[in-house]
Amino acid sequence: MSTISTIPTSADAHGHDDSHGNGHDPHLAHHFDTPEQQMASAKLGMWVFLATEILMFGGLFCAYSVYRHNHPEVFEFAHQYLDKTLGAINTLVLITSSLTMAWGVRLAQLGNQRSLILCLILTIFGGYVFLGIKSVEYRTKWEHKLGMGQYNRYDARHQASGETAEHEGALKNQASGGGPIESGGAEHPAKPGTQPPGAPNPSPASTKPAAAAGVYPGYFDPNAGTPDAAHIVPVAPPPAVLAPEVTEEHRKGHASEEELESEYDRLNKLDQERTSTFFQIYFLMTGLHGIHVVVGMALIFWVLVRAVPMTARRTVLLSRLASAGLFFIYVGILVRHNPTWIIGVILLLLAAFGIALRVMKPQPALAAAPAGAALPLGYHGSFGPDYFTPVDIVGLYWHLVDLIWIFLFPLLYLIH
Amino acid sequence: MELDQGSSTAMAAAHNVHNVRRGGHVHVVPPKVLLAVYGALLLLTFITVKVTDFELGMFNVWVALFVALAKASFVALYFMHLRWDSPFNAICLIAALFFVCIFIGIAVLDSREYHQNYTRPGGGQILTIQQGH
Repeated sequence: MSTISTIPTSADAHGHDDSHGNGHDPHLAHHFDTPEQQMASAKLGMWVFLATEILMFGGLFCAYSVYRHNHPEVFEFAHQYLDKTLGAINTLVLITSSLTMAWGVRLAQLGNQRSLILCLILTIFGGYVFLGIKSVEYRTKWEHKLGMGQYNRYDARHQASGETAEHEGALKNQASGGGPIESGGAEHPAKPGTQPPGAPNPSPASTKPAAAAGVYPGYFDPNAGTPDAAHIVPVAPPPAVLAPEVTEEHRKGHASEEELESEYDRLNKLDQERTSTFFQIYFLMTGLHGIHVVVGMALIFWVLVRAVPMTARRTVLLSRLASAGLFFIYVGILVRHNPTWIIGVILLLLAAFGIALRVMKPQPALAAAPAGAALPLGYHGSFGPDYFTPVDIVGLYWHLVDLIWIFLFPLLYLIH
Repeated sequence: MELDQGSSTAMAAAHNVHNVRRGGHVHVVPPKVLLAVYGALLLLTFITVKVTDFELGMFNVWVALFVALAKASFVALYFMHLRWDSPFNAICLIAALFFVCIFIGIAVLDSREYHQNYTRPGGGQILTIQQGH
């Protein structure tokens, strides 16, 4: 699409954002008959893409459903590690940013680009707040060694490497002074004798807890005794620890952190592995959603730059990039040191609103543009009643991000 | 884009089209509707958090899902403009949800097939490779 169009020398072409109407519609590609058709095609294409997004998340929701169907008690236990309050705040943040995005589409349709800019900045800001809260949550998980795979304390590989004692030391260290977690291992080296009773034995033999148990009573192998006999057979259930007692205790409300710590030792091997799997599902679902938030923010950023008048574009581009840089520095700080995240939020707030004020100022260059002069298309900002497709399409994407979180929040945080 | 700048007929046609477009084919969502939907979403979020304080057995998850579905419908219909859009867009969304439901439904059905290997409560499902075979 060309970016240059000559505005005809007529009086009404001056001074309005939306006055491209004297010639052909400069936004209409020639393979479309009408702008309506062009717009409808763009939207249909976006909806097909959103359908594939839903199917992609559907795979993860399927893993979630099957696993929860088979092990509801694991979900009831493990979800206590998730912070319901932070999840609810994040839900409100995303809903609010959805509102500002929908409002932005409305403003673009009306040609009010100054307010559109404000709405888009607020939407991006909502994304920052969401990711900030999310990184606080992830950091807490990381502190409690509830990561993915071998970085999860409930994972057999993690326990086999003898990090349990190190973890206990790190927790004590944190309780006393809140120091960095790395020093915990050095001050409390792993010694087999210091492990609490019931903690997993790191010897390789204990990683096969089922070897001593008998075959599951209801199991019958028709090929027993032949070369086709099953090598993989179900074995009898080990004594249940998690299900009746542990979940009953927590039915009334969330357990304290200390209680959850002691539960860790009471879980049997199998339930520990399952708890680890819960966190894999949690991290995959929220992580993929978080990536979508980042992508959505980048797209809104692109729309924002296009909505800004030509003369201010470079300023906005640079300052938004600077605020994104600030954000990642703040996440970096956050991962290392706990309480500084509030400073990061304040910095972002200042950056976002400083830029908003900068853009809101009337542009003298615009007022000086002579009537009938050849102005580049989108000189005053690209969007108006004739052309708001990018705002609309990006808005759809952002709403989808909201939509997925609407399902993730109750399914992960609000298990009862 | 500049190709039809010299053609007066094309410009005239585009001009007409343009006027039609200006004539109100674009549906702008009224602020009242946006705010009402926002309020409904806040209310439903509050409900879905509060309902976890009550013991409803199996119904807790269904209440949570139902509230989530209501919230999603509000977002899709009003924020995503589906209510005023071409029905084709809604068909895309509904088809995707339909196939996700089939996918999850059949997968969950199938997981029941191994029920003899899975015991509940207390877990107990283990598949282990017996040594020595």
